[in-house]
Amino acid sequence: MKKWKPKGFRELGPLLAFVILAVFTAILNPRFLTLFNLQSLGRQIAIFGLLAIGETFVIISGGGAIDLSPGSMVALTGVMVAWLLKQGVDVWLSVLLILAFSLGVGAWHGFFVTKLKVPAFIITLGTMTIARGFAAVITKGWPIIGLPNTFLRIGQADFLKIPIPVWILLVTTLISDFFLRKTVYGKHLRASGGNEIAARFSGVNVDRVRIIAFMVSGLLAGLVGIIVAARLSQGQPGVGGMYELYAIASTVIGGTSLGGGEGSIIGAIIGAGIISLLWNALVLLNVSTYWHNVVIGVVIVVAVTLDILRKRLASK
Amino acid sequence: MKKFFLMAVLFVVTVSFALTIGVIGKSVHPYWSQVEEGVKAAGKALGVNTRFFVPQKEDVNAQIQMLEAFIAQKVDGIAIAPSDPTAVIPYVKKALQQGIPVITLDTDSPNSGRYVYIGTDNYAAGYRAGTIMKEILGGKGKVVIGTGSLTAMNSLQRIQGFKDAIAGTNIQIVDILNDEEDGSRAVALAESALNAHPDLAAFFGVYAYNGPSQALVVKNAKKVEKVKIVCFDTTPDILGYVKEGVIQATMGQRPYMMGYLSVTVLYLMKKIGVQNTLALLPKVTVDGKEDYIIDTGVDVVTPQNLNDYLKEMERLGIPIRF
Repeated sequence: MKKWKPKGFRELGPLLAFVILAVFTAILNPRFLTLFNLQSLGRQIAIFGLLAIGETFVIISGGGAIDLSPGSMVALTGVMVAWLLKQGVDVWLSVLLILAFSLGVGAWHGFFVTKLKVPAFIITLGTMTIARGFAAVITKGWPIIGLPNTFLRIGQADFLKIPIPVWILLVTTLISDFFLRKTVYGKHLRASGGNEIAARFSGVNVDRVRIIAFMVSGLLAGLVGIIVAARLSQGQPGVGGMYELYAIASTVIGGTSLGGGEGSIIGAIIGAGIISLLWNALVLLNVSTYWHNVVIGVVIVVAVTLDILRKRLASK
Repeated sequence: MKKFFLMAVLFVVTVSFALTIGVIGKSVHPYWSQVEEGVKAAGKALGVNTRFFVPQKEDVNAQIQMLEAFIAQKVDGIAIAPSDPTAVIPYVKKALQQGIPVITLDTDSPNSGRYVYIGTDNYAAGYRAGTIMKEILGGKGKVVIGTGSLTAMNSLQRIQGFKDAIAGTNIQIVDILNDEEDGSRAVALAESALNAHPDLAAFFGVYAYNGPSQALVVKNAKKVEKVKIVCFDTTPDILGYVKEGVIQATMGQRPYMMGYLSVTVLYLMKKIGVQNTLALLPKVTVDGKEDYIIDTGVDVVTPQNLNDYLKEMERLGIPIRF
């Protein structure tokens, strides 16, 4: 018997799972396909997808790198941007300041991991707690409301019927996929994660590569913070709980190896699609809310296990 | 310099002779800031020191640590809103053994031996919400409930009260959605529900952020005329939506009163004795046992009475701007 080998399209498994889930939901409840619902789903995918892209960069860079801060950073940057806007700072300036800030937080993580050899798990865990704390310090728990309409458009408006967050996701996906697959940086990133020592010997500046990976993750967490604040019309300190874990799960569902060295942006987006689709479908299918988390957890385990088995079979 | 030193000594002496009352809330949240306002106001009026503590997020372990710290400092009274009613029992008992009166506020721990519970009767408040929903919908239609927890007692009691109030009408609860206290997820779930039930008549929001999440979705879908909203609490965003008529009614709890009364009751217990204080309080019988419970009640805020409500809050020193 001839063995079937997937060539160049390892995202096939998760994509199939996504399509099957979508078709299944659409058959059981045709209202899944309404424009309103697809837009809602798209916005959700954008939120998880952008975080998953950042996480993909970090995980590929290897050395056990992982970023646990995105969920809390979403809350903090959302609160910060709302605070800036309330002080009368121009919308685009506020957005730029927040993006610069989150880039800085990413660089901070990278610096600790590479130069001070602090495990990524620990330094980003620290940020997870600190960022959540600062969000509470700034707001004392009150949501910051009354944001200008220009800003809200980032999270709520559509262009050609497609929500703005989805456009942001599309552009980010294209750019980061290009970077990962076609540029020298992408090659170095994969090399650093695959075999750090070999990479160092062949002249790759592994530290710089990793710092940039953390900066990408930080930047995207800030971007999502802005989108979520615009979507909720307020800076809310309580949002983003467990988002880092959904982002990591999306990344792994999409075929990125937690050991580093290999991974796929498109796969991460599909992973984010699967998790967002589950949130949406469980309501449309009228599954009791008690079961939602159980189902999501089981699907994550099944999706990742099947993919690992498939890869093992394919490589035999 | 000497004068300053003398004043400092005098200050320390008066402070250390004044009563100290500790209040432990649940989390960093507007609701708890209002409790804190009430605690401070009562402390000022009665001339007692107050210590107010809340953990970042609900965290019963952090509460217990603070409870132990209060016991170690031998404060004169403790009010606590336990995130977990059973976990705090041994520590409440420990405080009582040391002669420190303990009461609960907002959330009760009935088996801990605490003297009094001061808070919203959540079942009654949920029932009130259900009654208002019945009036708004004219007794028929599909309702979706959004909440942040399906294990917390306050959420369960509000939902039960709501259900009992609409029992026997043609109002049907088509779904209960749990967002686990994530505002973003609450919006996504409300969108899904609005889409899944095109003939939806109303949302019922159980936690403070549920109402505004639902209002945002309903407003963006341009269904304000079709889908009504009844919810809980009076954060500025909720009141903004009440003003616009997107939210038809919200159950305003009285956190300020809870804080104020807690300090007052504990102050009395120290001044005139525990039993004498209890004799002044409303007595209820629960499961054949006498108990002391103060229901602080709710203010039903609607587009019609919004301005009166705001004036009243302003008078209490809680200006709400939106």
